[in-house]
Amino acid sequence: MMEAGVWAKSWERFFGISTALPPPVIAALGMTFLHLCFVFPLVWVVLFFERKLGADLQARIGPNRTGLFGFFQPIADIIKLFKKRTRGITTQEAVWEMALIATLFSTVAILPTTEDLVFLNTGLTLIFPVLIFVMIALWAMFLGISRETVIGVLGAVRILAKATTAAFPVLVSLLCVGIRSGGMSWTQVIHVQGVLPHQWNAFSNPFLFVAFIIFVLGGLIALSIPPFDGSQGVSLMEYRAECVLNFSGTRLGLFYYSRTYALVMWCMAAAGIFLGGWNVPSFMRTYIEAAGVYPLAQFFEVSAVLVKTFVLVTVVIWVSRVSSRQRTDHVTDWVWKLLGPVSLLALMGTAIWESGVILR
Amino acid sequence: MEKLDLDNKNDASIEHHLGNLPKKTYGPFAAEISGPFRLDVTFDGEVIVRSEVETGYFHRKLERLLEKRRWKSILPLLDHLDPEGAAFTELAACLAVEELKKIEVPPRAQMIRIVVTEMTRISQHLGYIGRVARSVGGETLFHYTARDREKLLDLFELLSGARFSLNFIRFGGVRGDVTDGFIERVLELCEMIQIRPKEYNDLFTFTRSFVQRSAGVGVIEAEHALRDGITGPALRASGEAKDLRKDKPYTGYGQIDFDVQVGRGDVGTVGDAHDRFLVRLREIGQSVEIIRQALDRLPAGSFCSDPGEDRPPPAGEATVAVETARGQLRCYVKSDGGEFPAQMKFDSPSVALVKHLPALLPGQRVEDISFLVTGMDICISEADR
Repeated sequence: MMEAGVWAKSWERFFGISTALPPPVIAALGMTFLHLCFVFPLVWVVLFFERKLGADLQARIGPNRTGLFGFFQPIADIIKLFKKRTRGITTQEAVWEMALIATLFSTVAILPTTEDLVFLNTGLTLIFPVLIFVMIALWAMFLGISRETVIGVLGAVRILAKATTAAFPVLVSLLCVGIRSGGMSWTQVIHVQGVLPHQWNAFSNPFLFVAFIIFVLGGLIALSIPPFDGSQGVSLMEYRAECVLNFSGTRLGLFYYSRTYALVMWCMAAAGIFLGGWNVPSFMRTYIEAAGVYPLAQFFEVSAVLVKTFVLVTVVIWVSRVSSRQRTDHVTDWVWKLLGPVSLLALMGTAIWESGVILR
Repeated sequence: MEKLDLDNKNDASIEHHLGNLPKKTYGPFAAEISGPFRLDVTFDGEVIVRSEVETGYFHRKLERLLEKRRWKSILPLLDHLDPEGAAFTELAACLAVEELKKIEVPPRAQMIRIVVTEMTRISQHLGYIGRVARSVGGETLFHYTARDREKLLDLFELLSGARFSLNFIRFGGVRGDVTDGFIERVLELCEMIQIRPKEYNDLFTFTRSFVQRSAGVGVIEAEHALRDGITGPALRASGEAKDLRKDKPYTGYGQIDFDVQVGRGDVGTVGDAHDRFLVRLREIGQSVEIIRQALDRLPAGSFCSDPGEDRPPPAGEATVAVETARGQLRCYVKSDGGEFPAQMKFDSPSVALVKHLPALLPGQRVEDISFLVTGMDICISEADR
């Protein structure tokens, strides 16, 4: 378990923040900085990339008016949505929406950016994303019920069903990683991996590769990311989540932002857990530290994570654009019948494989 | 789920049970339905137990408006019955008036009519495929079919000046002759369209997710389809090989050889949603073949028996049926010898399709409402008129 306060010292060293500031203040500043300077531009780029890649797959051009190649289209969309006059919401809806948003964006604390800048690096950090998506599903369920409409309730139940169904195989896949790493903290999981692909968790043995697939799929299902967004309405035209029906304006903009962030967050977690994380060649870090250009090391580490995240995001967008939407009961059906047992087999296989390594 | 026997209206316990179940109204304008019509659905959990349909929101007194126009002036208004399939409505009305006037349509005009109506059929089927794909999240296929459909619409614009409301078929023939350049472009389009069904099948039709959503879902049995007056691809998907172009050929279809596509239950049950999708996909291939044959047989000659002819039809009545992309469209025309039609009535295929919805939806899941309604290919414009 990481020593308390070590993360604060890393941030102090990196940003030159005064050591007199209490750690919670540094945490608040750090989370805000991460969100504004890292998460927001990242989501912006992914939104633009999703539009362009999706358009390319569909033999279209995509946005091309706002800025160079339409790069500012996500900003234009957000501004347009924020300008819209919307209906009021009830107190209940406001409470559950705030809970949902706060829960989702609390995951900024566990983003595997670099070794020195990650906030939450405890022995159970890897379980955090799973807890988050179950909680998000719970708040979404309450939000749907608070709408007091038939479709709101049905959508709420569907979202929770998918999340609880996907939680089991995802947790088991994390256990597979824990067996290899000997722990569930970022440093333990990423340090056991190397720079080259064959040293990553996903490709170190076939069972962990299966665990990697299960982790990614499970996350997409639980977070209702296409093509597993069957809870979102009864048709593509009603592509806003049924439990958040009649979102418009600011709330709709926030919904799209949140959904894209959830995709990025999950892919980043997968990149850290299974694809080597922030590992860069050791000679680079040694040379950079010797030269005293300390922040450059963080830059390369973050870049390594981002490249892997983007590859995963590209694959997810690709699959979502060419696949049709699955019905919720079909999704829960194959998750229970396929992912669950396969994840257990992967766990057994990993345990046997890794014990063989130890014996060797 | 076992369907409740709602025909037993004396069973008060069923009504009491249904009264306690949640209900939702879709429409008249809703994203889930190809409206405007109202769909009231009663659920038991995620399963629909009852549905009711109310139409009439798009009634424009079209038939009455037609009776207030001179004979030649009805042609542009006919396009408004089914904007997507304007050529079929024009053809039906023109055939009925030609029957009254005893006009002989030149062979060249007959072949041109076949080409135009089959191109319209392909256009409508492409639109159907795109809409159904979109209703289950297959956005990519929607864009592909829209892209291919644009090429067809460009040809319509080249021919008649309009993409949908062609206003091209006339009493006694067509409005204008087709040029060699147009024929060449149509044949090029046929080459392109012919390979598309395979591409769509690879991308979408036989993918696991679509098969799972459509196989065995929304089954319409042949006897129910016949009982409710369903015609066209929806009936053929149920296994009944009924096609007016074969059974009662009109406007030169007797010279054309093609196969009537029927549902075979390839991946599910005969008459399910997948069969309705597949039948239309296969009919695109048949329409391409029909167009090629019609252009091969295109004789020299006039494109209209008497373009300047303006005499009203003699007193009498005529009923003509044509096979549109959605089913049989019947046109009844009555003349009293005057300048205006005495009566014009249409019986469109979408009326039967909408009427069948309350029988189709019970037993299905909420998430399938949009898919099933879109898959019935209802055109409210022609149902309400």
